[in-house]
Amino acid sequence: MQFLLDSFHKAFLLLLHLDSEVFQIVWLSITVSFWSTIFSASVGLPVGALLALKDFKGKSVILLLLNTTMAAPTVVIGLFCYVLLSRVGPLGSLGLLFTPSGMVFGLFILATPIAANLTVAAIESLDKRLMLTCELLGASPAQQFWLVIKEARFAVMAAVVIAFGRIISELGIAMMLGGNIRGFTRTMTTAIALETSKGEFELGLALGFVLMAVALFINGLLFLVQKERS
Amino acid sequence: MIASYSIKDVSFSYSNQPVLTINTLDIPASSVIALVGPNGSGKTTLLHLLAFLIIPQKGLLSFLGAKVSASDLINLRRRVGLLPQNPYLFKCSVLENVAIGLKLRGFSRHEARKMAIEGLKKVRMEGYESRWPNSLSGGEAQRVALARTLALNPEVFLFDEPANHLDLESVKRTEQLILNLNRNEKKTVVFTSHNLAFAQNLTDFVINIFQGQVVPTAPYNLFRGQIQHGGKVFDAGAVQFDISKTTERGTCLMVDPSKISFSTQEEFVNLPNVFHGRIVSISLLRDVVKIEALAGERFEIHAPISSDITSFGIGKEIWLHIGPNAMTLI
Repeated sequence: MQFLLDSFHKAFLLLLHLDSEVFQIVWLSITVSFWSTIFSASVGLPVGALLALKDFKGKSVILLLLNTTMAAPTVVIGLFCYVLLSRVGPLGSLGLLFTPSGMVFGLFILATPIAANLTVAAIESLDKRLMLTCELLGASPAQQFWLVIKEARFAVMAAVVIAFGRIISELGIAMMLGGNIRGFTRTMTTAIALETSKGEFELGLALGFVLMAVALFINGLLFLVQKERS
Repeated sequence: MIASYSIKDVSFSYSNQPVLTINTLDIPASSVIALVGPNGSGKTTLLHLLAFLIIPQKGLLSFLGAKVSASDLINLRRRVGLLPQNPYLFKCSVLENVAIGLKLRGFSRHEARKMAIEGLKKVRMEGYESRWPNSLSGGEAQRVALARTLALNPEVFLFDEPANHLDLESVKRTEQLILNLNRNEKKTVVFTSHNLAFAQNLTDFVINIFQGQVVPTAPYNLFRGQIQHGGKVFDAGAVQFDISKTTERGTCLMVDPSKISFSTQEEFVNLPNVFHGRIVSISLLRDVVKIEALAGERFEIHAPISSDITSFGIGKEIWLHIGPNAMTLI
């Protein structure tokens, strides 16, 4: 028990004194998660909107693939991306493996289906009269697309927040594509895993608190979005 | 006078089920036209066709003399304003809702807001600008949607069941609005209604729609049944009609109320399609006397006001004769 209390005490001291290593790890995690979310949302939202609004051949196959990707274990996605980014892989020449950009790439692959799927669900749950109203007001296809996204904005924002939460708490992809290199690709989740395996809990606990604070912040945002929606 | 719309041999189907088949229909510019028919008769589909929300799968639709083509639908939609029966309001303020169509047409934010405020004034919704749709009553939401349509100032106004679910005062205001749009602004107004009295209060141009077709009379005396005896009899259950002199075929028979011959004494001896019953109501319907009679089925008869009806009274016996020219089979 004393050991646990000591660990908590040291963890708080690390946070209180703005330990440079803790700060660097937190900053990298947030930066990588931010860019992964931006890229995932940039691709996932339009793809989701197109899937929800347009009927075309092969649509159900794409939806099935997206759903499968959502359920795929992150280590499998990490492995797939590793093969792509490794020196002998098709994207090996880009030199992204074991870099923050490589991690962004992997997390983008992880979160894009989430953003797309949640966008499909958000748009499909909209009032059926919306499309008719857009048409009778004389909206062009691009204007209709924008109006639909705008009407689904609360649910779409929730999709982005959920994607961010999934990204920042991810371990497998960050470990496989980042390599957990100290001061370069070490994120909160990879650092917690490493420190725990070494039996040194202070840094792990400190990062765990930050991660929990981020989770609280994200859920708070989601709560506000839902409140606004209702 | 140039027609706002001209329709020739137009048909439209949903899932191979024909919902609209119109041989010829012209809607004159600056006129008020009522599309009257029962629920599911195809009125709204026709209104959607006039709003360019759908295009005919067959036939020709012209708007102000120019053929309507699928490539120009967005521009055409911007020239007409359709107010649906149950309009949708966007999740934004009332003012934004009214301004949205204007912004889509390229008006600046400032201009659109200014015009939206004018639109709201026309429906007496000043002071509601910053309210959101979820804080409005059904009637208020309907008025906001009306303001949105009015603000667009289209060449043609299309109203789907504008009097539905409205109280008497609101119905009067809607009637006045339609008349003002036509008389003061020379707009073409087309509206649907299943209420003939509402339609006839506003216009003499009533187009009767039944089963997706323009029919010569409002479907008052409508009988469903089947043709029997080698095409000579239409069996509607309680009554049978001799249709040996009728060339049309179908599962519904309509009887034009203005073409029914009637008498309070036994007449029409040896004629087919004579029905005997009693008068159940007599009322005045604009320029005709409406008589309802129970003669196996309930029949509605329209008699000219000038005709001698002094001998008629509720409960009195009546003989009806329905000639071939009074019957339409569809």
